[in-house]
Amino acid sequence: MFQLQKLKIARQGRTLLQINQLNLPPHGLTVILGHNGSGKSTLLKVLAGQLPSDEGQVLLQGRPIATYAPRELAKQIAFMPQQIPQPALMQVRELVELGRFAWRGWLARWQENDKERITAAMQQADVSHLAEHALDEISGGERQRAWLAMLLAQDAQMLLLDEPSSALDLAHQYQLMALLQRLVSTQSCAVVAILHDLNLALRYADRIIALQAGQIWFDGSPAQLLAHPQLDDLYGIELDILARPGKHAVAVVA
Amino acid sequence: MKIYWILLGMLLSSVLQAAPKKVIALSWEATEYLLALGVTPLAVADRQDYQQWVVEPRLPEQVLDAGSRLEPNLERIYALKPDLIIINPALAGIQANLQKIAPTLLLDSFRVDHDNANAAERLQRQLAIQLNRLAAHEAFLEQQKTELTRLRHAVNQRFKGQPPAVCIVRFASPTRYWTYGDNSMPEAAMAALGIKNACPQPRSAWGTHLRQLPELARLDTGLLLHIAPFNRQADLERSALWQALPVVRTQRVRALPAVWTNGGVTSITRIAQVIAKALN
Amino acid sequence: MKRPAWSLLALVTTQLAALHIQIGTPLSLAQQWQALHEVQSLEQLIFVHTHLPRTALAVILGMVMALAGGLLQLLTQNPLASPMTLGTSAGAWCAIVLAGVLAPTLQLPLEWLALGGSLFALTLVGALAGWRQLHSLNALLAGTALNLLLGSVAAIAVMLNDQYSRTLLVWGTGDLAQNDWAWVLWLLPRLAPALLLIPLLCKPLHLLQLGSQAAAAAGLNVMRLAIITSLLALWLNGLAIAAVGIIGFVSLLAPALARLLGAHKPADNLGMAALLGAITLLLADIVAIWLSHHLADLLPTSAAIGLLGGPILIWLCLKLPLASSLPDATGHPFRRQPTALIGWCLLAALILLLSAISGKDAAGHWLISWPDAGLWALRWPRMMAACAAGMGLAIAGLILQRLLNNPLASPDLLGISAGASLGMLIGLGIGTSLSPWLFSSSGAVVVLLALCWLAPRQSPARLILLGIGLSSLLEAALQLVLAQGNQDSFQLLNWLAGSTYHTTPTQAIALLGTVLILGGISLVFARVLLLFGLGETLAQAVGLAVPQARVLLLLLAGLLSLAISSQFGPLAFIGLVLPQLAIQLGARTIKDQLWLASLIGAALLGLADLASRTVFFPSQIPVGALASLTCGSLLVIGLLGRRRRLA
Repeated sequence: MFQLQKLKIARQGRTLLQINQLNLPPHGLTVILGHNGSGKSTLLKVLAGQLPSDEGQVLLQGRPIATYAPRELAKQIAFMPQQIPQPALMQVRELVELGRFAWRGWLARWQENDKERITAAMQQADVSHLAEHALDEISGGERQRAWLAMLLAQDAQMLLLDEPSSALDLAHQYQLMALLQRLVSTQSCAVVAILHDLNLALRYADRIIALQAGQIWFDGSPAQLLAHPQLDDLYGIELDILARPGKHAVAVVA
Repeated sequence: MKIYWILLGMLLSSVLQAAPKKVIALSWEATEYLLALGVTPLAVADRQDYQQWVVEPRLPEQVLDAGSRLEPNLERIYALKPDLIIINPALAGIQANLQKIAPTLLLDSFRVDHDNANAAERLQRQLAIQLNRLAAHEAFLEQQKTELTRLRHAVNQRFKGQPPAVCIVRFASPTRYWTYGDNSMPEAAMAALGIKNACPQPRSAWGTHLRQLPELARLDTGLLLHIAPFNRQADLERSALWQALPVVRTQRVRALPAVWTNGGVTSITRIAQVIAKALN
Repeated sequence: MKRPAWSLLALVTTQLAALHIQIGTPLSLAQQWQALHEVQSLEQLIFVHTHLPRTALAVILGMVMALAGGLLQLLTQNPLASPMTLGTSAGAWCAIVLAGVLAPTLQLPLEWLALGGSLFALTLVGALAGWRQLHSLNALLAGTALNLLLGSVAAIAVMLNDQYSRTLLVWGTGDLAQNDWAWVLWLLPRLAPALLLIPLLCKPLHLLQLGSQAAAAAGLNVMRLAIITSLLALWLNGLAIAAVGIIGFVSLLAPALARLLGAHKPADNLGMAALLGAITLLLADIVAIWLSHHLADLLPTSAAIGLLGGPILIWLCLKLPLASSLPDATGHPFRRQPTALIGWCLLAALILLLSAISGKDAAGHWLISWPDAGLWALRWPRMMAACAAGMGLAIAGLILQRLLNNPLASPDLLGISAGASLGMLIGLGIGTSLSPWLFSSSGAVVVLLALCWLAPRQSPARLILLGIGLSSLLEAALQLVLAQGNQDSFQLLNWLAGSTYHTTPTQAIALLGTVLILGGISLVFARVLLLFGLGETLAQAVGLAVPQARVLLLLLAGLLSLAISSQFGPLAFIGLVLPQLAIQLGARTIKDQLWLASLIGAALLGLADLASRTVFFPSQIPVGALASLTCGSLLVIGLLGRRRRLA
């Protein structure tokens, strides 16, 4: 779905991102890993069309992403930034409805299939019971799910999520990832998410892309990452892999 | 026969219409014109300030306040049902509104392209004709002329035909003052008294200019007359420059009581009176 | 900071001071030198008692104002804070005017009045913007709104006492002319304690640059520092105002320029700002003296500095980095069960009906009856215009608050009303017989076009900053006209205070029509307004073409503001308060808020129209000033209420 070629982003003489070649298919759960400042968020912003590239090309469905009008783009891609605002007074349902903006624009009324999509999205993200609540009245985890519902209502081919689990407690982190995995398998859409937690990535990802200093350091399956001989270089700290029979292997700091 | 009655009625009504009784003046110069003609206005704008700043001619107690001069109270004016409203150009914008209430007369007294003193007389005459008061106007003018002649004579006698020049000012702050030059009413009063203006200024619509205190240092001859009230007089008199001014050191400064410098014929006479009194 | 820079600045200061002395006097240097020992001629007398103290005062006051501004900027960490932009100068001025008009016999000392007034204003700004938000745009928004409000309060006071106030106007416009050394000698002892305190404050202020929490953690008593510093800054500014009236800009420009020159440490910044302040004021006064020589009328120093400083300020606004406001943790609006809209409709209609049929008769007694045709013809245009203005401002305020995600945004800060006022000023200056409306609306149109051109290129917060810059420029230009203290000044003052007096039926209908049409369009755009609540990044991600939408919404709010301000001048606080009030009264969705805010707007302005006709009968008070005052008071009451609930 995405083809990146010879991409380069630089700010004040510092190269933030340099990717020679990257393809992202319209399916599967891809996790982006990397240390602070490795260019994860920059990459995601480029994919979301929020940041134009200095050099190289970003092709979405074979067309440069810059040529897409915002609404066209939003039908293809749904993006959740790292920090999600909490607009006062807005209800969860209203937020989810805004996901349909790409399909209906400024003026057109919501139609029957919009309403169905909205209801379905809220059910999927498990926020139906919160529909009438204001966004600043619910908990951080509930809010993150409400935003996910909005992205779902957007009906895009690909969801781009920047640290979707940052505000969540341990249990909710795993719930969220399970939900994403379910989405990928049942909706035939793709998810690209930035995560900080290596174990979360190893457990749920179909594909892991690891960045280091703006360049792709690793691109492959979780099993391949685990087998990587220089895994310690990823975060610059020594890691032990604990194999657990019958369960997922986990990485811990040695 | 019937036709005669109708004609008579029309004649009567036109006479009645020609002499409005209930007049509202929305400018102070118009108020002055009216009082000079012996007409007591129904209401005038800024009545209290008039009593403090214009003082003469005295406003009878029964005269009502019509609101401010910039925004007179239309509803009160409407409720008073006047026959005539007099305004100046500051209210030209609402003339159409006023016209709906009563015939409205715009008197443009202060302009750069006419002589304000002459205009005051001319406009008062115009008003007198409209109010059917021409006789009163003539008598008033005669009376003013007599008074001015008397004052001029007195001044001449006092100074043996060589009256000193005077400079009339109104202080705005301890460092600034308004002075009255060409086309101003004080200069007209000086002319009537045969006195020279000691601080001549270029012609302007109102004849006033804002000046700075050091300029008074150039006042070598003549008297400095400053118009009261000035609420920071103490600050002014305390300052070193003031005390060092030639006019102050040679004690050629006199205070004038509150007089209105933007009025009409009455104001000119009154200014002449206070000048003459200050010179004595 | 390097030594050469300091010496250069000091050199420039002395050079300018020398030039300042020379430009005023025709005396030769030898004669000047002689005058210092013994005064022989009149020119020498004027030299000693007028020119020398003027130069001394320019240097001292330039430093004093720069220090006042510098202290406030260091304290608030806001590069655009100053007594002018935080509204404290307006507070001081307002206190002096009110005391002069209400209690002329008391002769209260000006510096204490100024200090009291500015303290009051700073407290209000702190309460409005949030004490932890003083570093952000919010403080400037609150300050500018307060500036406008206090300006209209002073205008009411002045207009109700116009003859007396003429002298007040001339004095208040910030002129450095002197008669003797009295003011210099008055200033010096009062400055001494302040100047002794400043070296003690430098270190703690440096620590404060870490942020107040970190500074507190490092052992700083932030509260005590804030109180001492702000009192000191306000005292210095109060002294300057008591001595020469309001001279803006220096307090803002000098510290900002010092920072641009690289003076970041408080001690450096204050020192350099003081020198730059002296330089700025000397320069402006030289221009003022020079122009006064060549013009028929006197040019006050404040106007000269406005002409110099306005463009620099606008440039600074577009250049300086400014912290975005943090989400206010205490900002949860108080929620009520929504009342049915129909109820509010009925209430508004009732209030409007009551205002329409109430009035005073010729004798000044209340008269509540259906007006006859003649009276009605006088009453309805102004009332309709006022209601339309209330609705329009509410709608424009709502659009801007949603667009900027900032509850302090309001249409009078867009710069459009400042443009209208500047246009009006130019019209008065030219003195043609054309309608003043033509000038005010063309001024507003120019600003609106500039806004539309800038909107896709600059962030909305910058646009608001630009508006604030324009408003300050306007204030300076106003001084020029007001300083003449003539009929034109009063006409202008009246117009600025938002009078509906001159509204014709056609204008009223046209205004109502415009507001209804633009309001209808806003209603249609509710979804886009809601999207802006997500922030611009997300709005774009969801599919909104943000730059275009921003231009469109700004155009909508701008047109409303244009239609209203070209007729009534700037109306503070109305557009700020009404949308918030609607939320407090239970409106939650954008449509509810829009309806409710415009209903309250119409009812409130209708009531204000009634009050303007009757309260000081037979005198009028401008509706706009009255409504601004009401909305400002509502805001303060609301804030106090919130404090109480939190406590």
